[in-house]
Amino acid sequence: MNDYLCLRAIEKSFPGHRVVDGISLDVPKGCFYSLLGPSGCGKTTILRMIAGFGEPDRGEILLNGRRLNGLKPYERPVTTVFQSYALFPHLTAFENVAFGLHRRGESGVAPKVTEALRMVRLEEKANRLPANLSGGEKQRTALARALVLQPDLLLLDEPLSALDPALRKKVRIELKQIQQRTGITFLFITHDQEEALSLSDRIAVMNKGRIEQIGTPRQIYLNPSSRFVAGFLGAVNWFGPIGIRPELTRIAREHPGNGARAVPATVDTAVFLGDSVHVHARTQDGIPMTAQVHNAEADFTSGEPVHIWWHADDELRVPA
Amino acid sequence: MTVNSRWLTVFTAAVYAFLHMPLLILCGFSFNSSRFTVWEGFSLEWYRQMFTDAQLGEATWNSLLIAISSTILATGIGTLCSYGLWKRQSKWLSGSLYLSLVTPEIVSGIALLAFFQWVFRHAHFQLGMHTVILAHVAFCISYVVLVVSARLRTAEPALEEAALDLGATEWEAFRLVTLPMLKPGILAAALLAFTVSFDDYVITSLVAGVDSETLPMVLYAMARRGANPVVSAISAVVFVGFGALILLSERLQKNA
Amino acid sequence: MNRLRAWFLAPSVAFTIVLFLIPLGIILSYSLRTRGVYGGVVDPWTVENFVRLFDPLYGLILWRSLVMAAVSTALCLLIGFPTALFIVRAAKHKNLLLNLIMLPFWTSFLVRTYAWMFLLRETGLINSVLIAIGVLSEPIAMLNNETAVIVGLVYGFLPFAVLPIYSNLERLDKNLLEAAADLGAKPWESLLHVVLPLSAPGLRAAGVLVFIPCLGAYLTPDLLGGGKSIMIGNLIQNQFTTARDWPFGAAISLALMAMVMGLLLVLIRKDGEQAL
Repeated sequence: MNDYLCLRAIEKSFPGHRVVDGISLDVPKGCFYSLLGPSGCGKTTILRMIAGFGEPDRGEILLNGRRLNGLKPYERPVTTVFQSYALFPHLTAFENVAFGLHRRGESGVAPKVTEALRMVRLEEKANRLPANLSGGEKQRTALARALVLQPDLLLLDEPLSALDPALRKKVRIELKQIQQRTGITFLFITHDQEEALSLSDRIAVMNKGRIEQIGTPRQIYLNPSSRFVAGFLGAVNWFGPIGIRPELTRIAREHPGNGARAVPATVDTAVFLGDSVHVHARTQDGIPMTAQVHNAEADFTSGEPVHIWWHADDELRVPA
Repeated sequence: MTVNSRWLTVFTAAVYAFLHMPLLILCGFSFNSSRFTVWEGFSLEWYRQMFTDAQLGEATWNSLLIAISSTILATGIGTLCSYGLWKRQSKWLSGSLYLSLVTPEIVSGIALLAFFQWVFRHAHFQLGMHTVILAHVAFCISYVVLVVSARLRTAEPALEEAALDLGATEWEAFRLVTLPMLKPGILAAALLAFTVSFDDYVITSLVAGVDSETLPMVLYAMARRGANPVVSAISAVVFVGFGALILLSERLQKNA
Repeated sequence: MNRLRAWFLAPSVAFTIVLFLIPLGIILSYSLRTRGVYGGVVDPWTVENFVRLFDPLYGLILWRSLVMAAVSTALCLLIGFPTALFIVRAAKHKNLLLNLIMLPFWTSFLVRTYAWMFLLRETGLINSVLIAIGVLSEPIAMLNNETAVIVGLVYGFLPFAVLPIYSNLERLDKNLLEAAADLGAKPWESLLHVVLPLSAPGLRAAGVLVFIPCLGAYLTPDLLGGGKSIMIGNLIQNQFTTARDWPFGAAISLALMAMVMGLLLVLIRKDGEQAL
């Protein structure tokens, strides 16, 4: 059991409402662990409590067997990459990264800082002030600053949300590589399911201060434990208590035959999205369903009667 | 927005003229060789008289001494106060500081006078430079807090958190992260405090002792007595001096 | 953390309590006592001083102060609004123009008041010029009257009016004017029906920020008003020096403070605390 970070029954309330409502989770050492959930679900609050900005009302935070409750942020072997990067504007990138090392009074600062900047490919821009760095460069500087201290745990607060989409995908890959190379335990919070799915070894899905499901990306996507998790991780066609993802929903003019679940429906519209076509149809009972098909197969027109069908094995069976 | 119409431009030009002409004219006439308001030639006579007036010299010295001490104290105290309030509000303190800013000077002045007189009944003090400095520090603190707090409002709280996260104590976070960023604002506040203190007449005249005459007090007495071109010369020097300080302060505020 | 913060606040707290709140408290106590024979303050405790405020003699001074402050404020708003409008529209030179407005204000108040003495007195510049060009045959008394005081007050506090109005106008959504034009409004209609109503908070703030110092003015009426147009500030000063009636002076001061605070509370209630 390599449970490195343990949260035990964490509760936190602010005047008016309970933001964190009994959270327990275990993060193994060296894991890329994500907290995934919509805004306001409490994930940022949890992150801040682990970093030391705010204490839980109840519950314990244990890191490598050591109880973190009550310790000041500067007493915890935890560093954070803030959503706004929080780079010190009056210090160069180099000085920003060196900051923590100086606080500790460590020697050999220069080579450590250079190595950290090299790892995020910013050694050329070491002497620039944050104002002269692009968004992506600022983010990498913040990462280097947190990594250079070789923390027991690295917290990342939606670090990619301020970047534009094209850059995000690129940085994502680099982030994963850095984590694997350094072996540092990452706790990553995000509301973007694609980020969480692509980066994480394990994901905890949160909603309204509680954990809905914990598992590997495959587990929670293919076997969601609730309607919320199913819907948050991707689109779902709900047919009563049964859910079927659009990419597994087929559409045909003829009945597919026995062995498949099928419903008659009428096409509303077909939306061309480049790599696929989303065909929106409505069953006889008025239930909307979407099938994702290759554009080569799709020449359905509005009003056309079709059969929506899927394999029983592909169904998501979740409790209400 | 739309381009300014001709009438608005003319009007505004007149307003600016109204605001600046009186002082410029005064400065201009300080170089007049005659003491009458008819231009009779360029002269530095009044400046010569100004520089050789012993009473003026002593009063100016007092004003500088008071202004510099008050500025240093008020800026230090006010900056710390702004920081403390930024960390957590205190409605009564903010309210009192603001109230002190809007209280008419005559009321602050007589209140301080009454206070000092009351203290002096129980302790061996008199009105003098020290009472003036204390009074100046008291009202300058509000100005400093006003300027520094305005700057703090634009500061990112996450920066101090990042410092703590990286191992700095609260004091180190203040000293290494917040204070450097506040420097322009602190300097601007100091310049403001200096000009407010140097120029003060009402409160100073009430709490100054017999041996602590300031430049505004002398200036006031001279102005009261009637037309005096030396006053014009003094005014010109003060105007240019203050103007330079204020421009310097603006430049500092802009650079960050 | 709280300990650090307490140390940071301690000096200001000390100064505020000892050199502001306690003196005000002393004034409050004086206002309720009686004038001693040789000046000073003695028992008995009484509300006599506040009753005296309603005496017609003082009522006249109070009334005059209110009127003069109101007139000065109105003028500042009337002059300040178009000026602020001009600055907002002159996008490129905004900062320079703003600095030029504030510059005179931050230089010596005493000097600026003296400048008007220089201009307005019988041997002053304006009279000299008017006589020289033949408009007048002998000097007219422009100084030592209420008009001179009002001119001095407007001159002194006009920048106080321009800034809040400017901030307010600056923050207006430029798209609103485009929307108005799109819907058929001519420029003056946009000004009247869109800009003016939306600048009301700025105008209110400017009004209060000018009215308060005008009401409590001391130097301006003292130097420019002569003996004929004394305002509340001069009356207070008088009680504490020549008249030696500290309790009455204290009562007047408190009345003035009450008016100032009342006005601020009304503004806060209407526009919230950020209006200041």
